[in-house]
Amino acid sequence: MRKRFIVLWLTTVMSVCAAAADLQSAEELYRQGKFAAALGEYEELLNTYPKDSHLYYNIGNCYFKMGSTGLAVANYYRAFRLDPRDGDIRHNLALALENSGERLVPSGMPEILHKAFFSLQTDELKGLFFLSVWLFCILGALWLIKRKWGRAALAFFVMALALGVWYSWRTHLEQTPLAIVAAPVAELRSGPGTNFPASASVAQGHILVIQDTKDNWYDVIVKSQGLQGWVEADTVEKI
Amino acid sequence: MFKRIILLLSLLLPIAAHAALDLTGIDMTASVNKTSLTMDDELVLTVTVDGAAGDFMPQLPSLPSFNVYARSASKQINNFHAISTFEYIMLPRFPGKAVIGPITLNYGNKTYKTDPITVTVYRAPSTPTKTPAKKAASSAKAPSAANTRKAPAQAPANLPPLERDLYNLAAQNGDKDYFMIAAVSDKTPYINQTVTLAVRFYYALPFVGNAPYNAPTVSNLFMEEVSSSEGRQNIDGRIYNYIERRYAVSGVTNGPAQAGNASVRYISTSRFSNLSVLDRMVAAVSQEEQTALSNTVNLSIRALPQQGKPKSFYGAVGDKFTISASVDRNKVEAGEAINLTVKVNGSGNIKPTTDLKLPQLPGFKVYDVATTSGAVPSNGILKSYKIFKTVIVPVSSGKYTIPSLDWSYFNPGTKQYNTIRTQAITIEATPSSKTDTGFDFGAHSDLGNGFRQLGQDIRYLKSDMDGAKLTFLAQLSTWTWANYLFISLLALAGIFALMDKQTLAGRRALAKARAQLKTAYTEEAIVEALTTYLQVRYKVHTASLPLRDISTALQKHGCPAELAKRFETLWQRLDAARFAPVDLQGEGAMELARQATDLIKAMDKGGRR
Repeated sequence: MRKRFIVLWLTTVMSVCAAAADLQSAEELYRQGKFAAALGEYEELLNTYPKDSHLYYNIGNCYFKMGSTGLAVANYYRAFRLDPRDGDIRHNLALALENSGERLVPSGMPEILHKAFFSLQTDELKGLFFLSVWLFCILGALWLIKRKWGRAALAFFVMALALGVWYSWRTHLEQTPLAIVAAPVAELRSGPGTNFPASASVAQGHILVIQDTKDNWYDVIVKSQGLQGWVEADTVEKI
Repeated sequence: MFKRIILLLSLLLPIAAHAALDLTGIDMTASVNKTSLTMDDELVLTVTVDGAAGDFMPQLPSLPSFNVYARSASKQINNFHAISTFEYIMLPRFPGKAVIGPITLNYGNKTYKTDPITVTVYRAPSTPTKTPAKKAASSAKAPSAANTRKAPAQAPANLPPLERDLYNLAAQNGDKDYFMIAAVSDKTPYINQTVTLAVRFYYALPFVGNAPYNAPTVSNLFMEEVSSSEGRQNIDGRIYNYIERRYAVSGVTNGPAQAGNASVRYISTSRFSNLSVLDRMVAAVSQEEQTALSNTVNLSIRALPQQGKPKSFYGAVGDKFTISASVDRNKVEAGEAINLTVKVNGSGNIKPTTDLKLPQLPGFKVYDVATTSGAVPSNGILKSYKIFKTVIVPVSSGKYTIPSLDWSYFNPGTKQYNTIRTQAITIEATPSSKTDTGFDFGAHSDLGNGFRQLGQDIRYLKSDMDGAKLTFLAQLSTWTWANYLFISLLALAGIFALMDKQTLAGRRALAKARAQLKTAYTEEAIVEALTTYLQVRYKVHTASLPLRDISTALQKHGCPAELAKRFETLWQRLDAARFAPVDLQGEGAMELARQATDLIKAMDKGGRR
């Protein structure tokens, strides 16, 4: 048992050291302007740590420096979903979107409200929702049995309700299938095929909401432009 | 003035047209209708000059092995583009290999030459009977019946299989005025291997009008016509003219395959030989149409060997394949599209082969491959090509190499797979200028206090990983089981409250007080039981409080006024009993205990808070 623990501990330490070395090497390449090489290193690391927001952020930086705004936006978005409180991620995502003619904060919404809405990770929000439900259950049970803590139980009920709505909204936003235009230009067509005429072209970096999928085509809505049409899957990066 | 301009234009136009033709250059090719023939056969040499205007004549080289006995020339002009065709009919003089040297053309201070052509001439088979040759068009005499014929002559053993089969089949039918034969160069080809199917219509006598031809129907074969020619052959001393069509055929799947009957519908002139011209015209109208059918040709298609089949084999069978890859530009900005074209050429049919699979190209976004293919007959051989086009986009700046692309084919001659490959291509992608100028550095603004904003850029990398550590709240989200626990707790409390309207503490207090009162024989015991009950039930402490305050506190905590009054009365009696000189113990105490029990029962039922 002890030997197993030591082996496990050593393996973990070694993999962490290797990852740190890879990060350092990727950063060095980035500093030298070898963005493609740095990107390769970060993508390699992503295979081992697929839920690391910093890796997505760094990959987004590489793509941005290489001129692929669409792929940069896609990766910043992934990082933002994992860690919405991070100021750097928010800044770079907002800037990349701005370059593409999109906005991170919907027009008309105060930025502070947007920040507050994304102040917690989805898992944290879920945890907080659970906690309020549990407290409400305890206080509600006390009230039922002892007729005590009635007001506190009511307060936690309202809190659980509000957190539930907040969490559901965030989950809905995260589960809405999005895609970012990755090719220099994507053409919106009236049907899923090149035999249908193109009605508009969308530059890279624009956010598309996927409505339907057929073969290698997506039925999308470009919310910022109020357009709908079919785009070829190869021209976009699904988030 | 106008007339002068017209005159000038009319002079300049032909000069300009000639110059345009000359600028584009000309293309001269030479071909023969067959590359192997017997001494009895004739050879047709065709020289095509594409793009040359005016009068000119190609110069034939010295041809010691042939006698040129006929020549014809034709010209087609379409949109200032001229194609001239020269045909020479030649008879071989000696058996053996004969080389037709380069044919030259001097045109516009330039000399053009064709490639030499090698033809093999075989000895004519010896005829068993010496029958003088007759000119087919002039002779009206049909040969005698088949039963009077001697055994047909056999083709020389050194003839190629197709020519030998054609010769022997023709010899077997040599007693007819009109007949049709078909033969194939290889009866057991591999899948996709292209072999030649030749169909000939022989006629010893002329036929009336056109003779409509129907190509053979094929099963399990892909067929494409590659050439059409005419010739003349001596069969058993009789001269036949023939029209030949050649097809490139290839098997689709392994197993049997068949080229069915080809047919020609003709009106024979065999009965007209002794008639006058007028009678011939009348007879031709009434003459019935006849049909000549070729023999069917059966093939057995062989499967390709699995051993040694490379991964890059897409189904091509043949030889002399070439492959090339090219890009429309080698230097681009990151994010700009490059057209990558891969072209495969060769003899045989590569149209049915599967599409080339591009390898992973790191650093590139690769789009789908679009394929075009075609087959072109050339000098009696089917040449085909396949072009794969795709768009690749370097996602970043840097030097990239598109590696060699492998493409394999099966060579039926050597029965081996061969692999050819493209040259590697180097691409240089410079940083995208769009990225660098994506910010308006000129639009800097003064922020006051000595600060000026010069522009915006993304923030720098993160040097560590976030470790994907779960915060306390995020960890709570994984405790789904706790939801069931707490919700069950709430549900149980609800069930408890619904089933019994008393609280648990109230029930306990009632039970305890009743038990105490059952055994209470003194006023002190009754007071103690009541005090305990009120403490638990109403949270009212009776110690050191005046009776009025106790009653007020009870009412404040939910005890009805009537019960509070009853309590006051009972409490006064208990006080009186405790401090009165008369001994009220015994039955008096029991009565007070009963009254106290009734009171707490009433409080429990009607006095819920």
